Amino acid sequence: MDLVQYILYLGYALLIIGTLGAILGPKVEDPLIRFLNVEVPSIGVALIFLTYDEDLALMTFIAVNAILSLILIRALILKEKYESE
Amino acid sequence: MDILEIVIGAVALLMTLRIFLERSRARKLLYLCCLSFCISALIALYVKSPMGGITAIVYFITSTLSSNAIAYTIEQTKHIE
Amino acid sequence: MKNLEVLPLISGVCCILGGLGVVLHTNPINKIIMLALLEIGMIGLIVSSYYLDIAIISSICEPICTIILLLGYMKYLTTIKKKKKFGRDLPVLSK
Repeated sequence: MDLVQYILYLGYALLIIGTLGAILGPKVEDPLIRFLNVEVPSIGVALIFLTYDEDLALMTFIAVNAILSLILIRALILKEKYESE
Repeated sequence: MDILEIVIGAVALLMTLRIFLERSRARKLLYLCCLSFCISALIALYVKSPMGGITAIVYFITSTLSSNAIAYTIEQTKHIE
Repeated sequence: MKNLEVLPLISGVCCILGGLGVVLHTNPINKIIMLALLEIGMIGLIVSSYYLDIAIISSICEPICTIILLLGYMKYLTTIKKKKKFGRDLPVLSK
């Protein structure tokens, strides 16, 4: 087993673990915990990008992922604030 | 495989298992900081060019920053609850 | 498996244990610590296939994501506490 095949199988394993965990993990009714579980498959997708030598796509995906977490967590706080009023 | 890489790799493997099995939150953070030091040393030993040194320096600084942010938030959360 | 170096092996163990740990823990700060472990594994795998510029970009973007998640968690916790305190004495007021 060489390095490329190893990284590919690791990415597939992370995709399966993260998808099953985001659907039926423990205490997943809290939206913050479900959002933190969704971060696992995104890293699996980044490892599959790394395997197929898509370097520009990998760099864009990592940089956009930080901005996406800002928008999602902002929306989550605003939802809690509007429900309390 | 060098003897130096094997020693640092053994320390890193031990720290990974202890992060996963530890129950206290502050002690888990301490082991995370130690693991990031080990990975920084392994990066500098793996790449045999000056660019590897620059990568190791940038990774060292940013991982220390991340660990300090988590430690500050643990203290603030204890104050809220 | 015989021609793997030390760095890809450690990074693979970090990825698998971090992915299991993010799913199995229930406290959000423990989940964020495990997410940092997962990012450590990803940076190690990127370095072990010699994409050094992407490793620098990724290790700069990782604490930004962690700090955003931590600040969001603190604000979320404050909102939950305020809502619970407000909701407890509202029925007393309505009676």
